Amino acid sequence: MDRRRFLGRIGLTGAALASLGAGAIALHDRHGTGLYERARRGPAARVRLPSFRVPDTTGSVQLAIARGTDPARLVATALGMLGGIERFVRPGDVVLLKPNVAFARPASWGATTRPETLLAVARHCRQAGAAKILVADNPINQPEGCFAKTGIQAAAAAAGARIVWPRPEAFSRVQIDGEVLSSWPVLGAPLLKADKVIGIAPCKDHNLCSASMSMKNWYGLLGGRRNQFHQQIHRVIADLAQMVQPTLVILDGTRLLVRNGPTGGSLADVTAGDTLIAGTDMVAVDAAGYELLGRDPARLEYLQRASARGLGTSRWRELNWRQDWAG
Amino acid sequence: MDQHSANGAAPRPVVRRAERVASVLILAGLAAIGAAVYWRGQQYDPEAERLDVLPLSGRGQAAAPGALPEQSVPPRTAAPQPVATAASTPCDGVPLAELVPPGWRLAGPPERYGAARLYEKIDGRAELYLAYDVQTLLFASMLGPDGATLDVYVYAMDTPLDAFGIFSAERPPTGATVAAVGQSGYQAPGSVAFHQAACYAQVLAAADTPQLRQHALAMAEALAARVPPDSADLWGAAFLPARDQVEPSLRYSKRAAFGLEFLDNAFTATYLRHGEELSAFVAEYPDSAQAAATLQAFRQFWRASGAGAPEELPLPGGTLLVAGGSGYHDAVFQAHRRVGGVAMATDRQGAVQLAQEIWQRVTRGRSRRPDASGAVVPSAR
Repeated sequence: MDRRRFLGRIGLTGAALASLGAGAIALHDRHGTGLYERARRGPAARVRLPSFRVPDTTGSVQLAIARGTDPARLVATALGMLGGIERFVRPGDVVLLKPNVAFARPASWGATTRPETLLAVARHCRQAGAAKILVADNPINQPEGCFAKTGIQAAAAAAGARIVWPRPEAFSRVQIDGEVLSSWPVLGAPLLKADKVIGIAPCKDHNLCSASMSMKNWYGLLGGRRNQFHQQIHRVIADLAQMVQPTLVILDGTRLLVRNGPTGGSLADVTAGDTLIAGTDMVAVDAAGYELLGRDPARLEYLQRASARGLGTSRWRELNWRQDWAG
Repeated sequence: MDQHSANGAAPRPVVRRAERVASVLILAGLAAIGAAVYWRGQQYDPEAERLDVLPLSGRGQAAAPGALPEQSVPPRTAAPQPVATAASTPCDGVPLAELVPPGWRLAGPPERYGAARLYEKIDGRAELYLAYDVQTLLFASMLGPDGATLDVYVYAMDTPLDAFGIFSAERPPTGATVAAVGQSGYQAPGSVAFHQAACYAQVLAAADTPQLRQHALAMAEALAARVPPDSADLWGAAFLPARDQVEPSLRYSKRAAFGLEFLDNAFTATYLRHGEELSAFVAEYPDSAQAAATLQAFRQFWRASGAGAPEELPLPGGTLLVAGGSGYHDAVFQAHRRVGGVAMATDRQGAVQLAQEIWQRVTRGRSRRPDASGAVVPSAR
């Protein structure tokens, strides 16, 4: 083979390879292949979240209501009534804090978790010896802006906590086996790293489900086009209570968004609630929170559905509960 | 004599080192391409779960030439985008970047969302806007010299009446004062909102300070000045008596007024009489057959809720159906293609009396009509 023919063949081969590569890139369905593979592999490819609950001991308080205005005192008082943070967090634990950071609005609007509350909880976890504190949520629109504007980013930094950003690689398909949600992509990376999970939610009105509290807070972990569930919102929220079994939930009712939720339309929609509710039964915590909004828990569909499934009780007064002033 | 000539076979080609290296490189390249395609296909992407309803709904719209491109999922870190110079509606084309107050700056490039992706910005709230046929949302956040923020939301609705509808739905019942901006507007702690033409706009401040109030109001006025005036026809206000009407309670519900799935295209208002609240309404349908179907739906609703068959009270030229159960009473009539009355009243007699007043207005044409500025003046329909 002479040099000219060799170079000609190399050129042809190169062109063929380039065409092949370009064709492969153009034709490759980057959305579909992975899903197909996951579907082919079946349920084994899906993640099932462990329970993060700490077993109740005899006589342990299940729900605590602290009244007052200062978030740090409210958190301390509520945790104190529950037996202290040491009941929930052990030295060396990785603790995930799940605030509501859904909107890029200041915390004063009552649509998101107060940063002061998150900071107080994080500090208690640190004092209990937590090795690492993670903070995670999946705001659909520009997470960086939401975390910054709500003040949660600054609070996390002040507490030495690490924010787990909702990057695509942080999502896993989680097996839920709920009424509506069989399995769904969830911001799973922080959940799978955590030993303990604490939900910290605002108490607010919601256009679709009447109120967004502790149980609805887990909605913020869902990926994908989650708005398609809005038509079945009550059943989905009950599914979420089935998906995540947290160590503790804290419902911040210091500011109540009583109208135009979940975003709020003006500061006139926010009233002072001066209450923080913490507990191990999030159905009960939400039932108490719903009363804080001046509404009847017996009429809130997702609470009743969750109660019927045995995920908690909406008759929170039947639990071992305490109430105290935080000064 | 060479080998070829000796045994008739072709000579074994001599493969040079360069050719071997090239071959190995080519094979390695092929393997790398294959591996890369496989690896990328295995990377999980939440986008894969996304159902693009835009083409399915048939309501998708392309961005107008020069308009801001619609945000896509997930708009993690939006790069600066060109400001709209042309758009499909006047609201959609408001140049937000030009409205930044002196000394302030844009916190990021203005954002634009179509109806199908509105939930990305106001997840959980979008459905309310969709019920009023929202078309697009323009959003910009502005940063002041002292770190204060103003967030501007401009919603392009389908019609001026839709804009009034969402405006009235979100207006706080207390704590707001009338603001002379747009067709009608209000200022509440931390916010200013108004509607004009098919636009509904909100300016939200991070806090309620006199300075921010001033900035928010100025921003709203500047916005309103960019929208051509086109008043909403508040036809229902004509039929709801002004006496004892709680201000500001006049609302337009495009769908499911009072949460009743069958009660669409209705104006509602709250009244306070003898210490009792009364919720009145007038709904309008394309023809009397559809109005009759709504009345029939009321009957079914009463049956299903245990209220039973309604009592029929005579009206001049019509009938008022009065049904009650669990301490609540409805008084409803049909007048041609309109259905009106009072719903969920605790005061039965008050409900009947107010429904009779509305009947008179609907059938006799006595009304109060809003003029172009939104003020209500007496007129006949």
